[in-house]
Amino acid sequence: MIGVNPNSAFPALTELPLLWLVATLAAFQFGVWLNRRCGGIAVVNPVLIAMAVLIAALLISGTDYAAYMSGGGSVVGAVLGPATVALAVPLYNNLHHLRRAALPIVAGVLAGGMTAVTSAVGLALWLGGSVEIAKTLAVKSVTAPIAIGVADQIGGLASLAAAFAVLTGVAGTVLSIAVLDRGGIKSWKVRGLATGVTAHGQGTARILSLNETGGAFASLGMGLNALFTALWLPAVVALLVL
Amino acid sequence: MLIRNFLILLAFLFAGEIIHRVLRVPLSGPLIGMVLLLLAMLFRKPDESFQATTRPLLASLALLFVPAGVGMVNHVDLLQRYWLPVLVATVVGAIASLLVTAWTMQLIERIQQSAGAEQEAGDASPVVELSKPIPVGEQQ
Repeated sequence: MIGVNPNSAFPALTELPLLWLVATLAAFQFGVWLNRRCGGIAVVNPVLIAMAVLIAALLISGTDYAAYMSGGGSVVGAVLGPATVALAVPLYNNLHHLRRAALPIVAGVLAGGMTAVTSAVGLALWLGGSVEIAKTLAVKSVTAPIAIGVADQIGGLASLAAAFAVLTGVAGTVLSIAVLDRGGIKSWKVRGLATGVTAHGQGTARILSLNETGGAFASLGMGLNALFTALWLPAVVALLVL
Repeated sequence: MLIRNFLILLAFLFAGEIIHRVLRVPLSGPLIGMVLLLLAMLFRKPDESFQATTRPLLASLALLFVPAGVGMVNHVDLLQRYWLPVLVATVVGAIASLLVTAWTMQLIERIQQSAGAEQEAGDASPVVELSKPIPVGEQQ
């Protein structure tokens, strides 16, 4: 897991053990700090900032991605598996909402999730994107750990899927309330579900900061959308032989 | 307790990976693990210590996909070529998915609401609880 080259007794600075683990944590912390300095607005996204800083650092130092991963990046990535399993907990805690309004919730999540996929794929292909890019965009509304797995499975690019999921999270979080207000949606339950389906974890965190019930519905929307999309998308892609 | 709780998560993750690999279930290992854990919790309520362990893990979920996102560095050429479709699909797709989710949920709620009202007028069966409408326009 901690891939340090054991053969180099005097490693160059960019091969310091765990250098990139420290860099990843520091870049993320810098993003969190910058976000707070900017009054917590969604556009200044810690993940986006961390990614930009680290990509710049890799390009400047001439380090390739494989070296980044073996130099500590994979340590952070390895926690993703257990964290994804842990997503069952907020889902479990919000199941009572599902029992009370199962049909509207399930219908909303399915319709919204399918819209997210078809609109992204359709727009991307229409604007001249490649099939590979379209397939990668298909999973963008699903929370990143699951997006990576599904993208890999349907023939998209796993690393880009994570980036697109983050971009969608930013877009959905920034647009959420403004768009839903204009659409005449005042109920926090509905707002929460729509934001969770569209902007997964980032949207859920934002709604949770505004309204607790809304946050519960957002978390339910995120979890169900991840589950449903992971179930139907690979099947549809296989049927269409994309 | 921290170690026990982490072992529980890893056990479900492993079970998920094994099912994914051996039975060739077309879902990722972590996702199968998540579903298995959800089912297990329905049979046995998770204790507070387990919930407490998952909280910081989920709170830092965003950090965990930074390394995967950095993998974009291998696709700089693709992004240079396709930045427009990516940007439009992301922004317009988000608007479409927000509105369709919200409108669908609200529509079904209203249908249930009117159906529930008729049913209540007819008989007061305990099934009404299921179709109990969510107050639309609730704001805090």
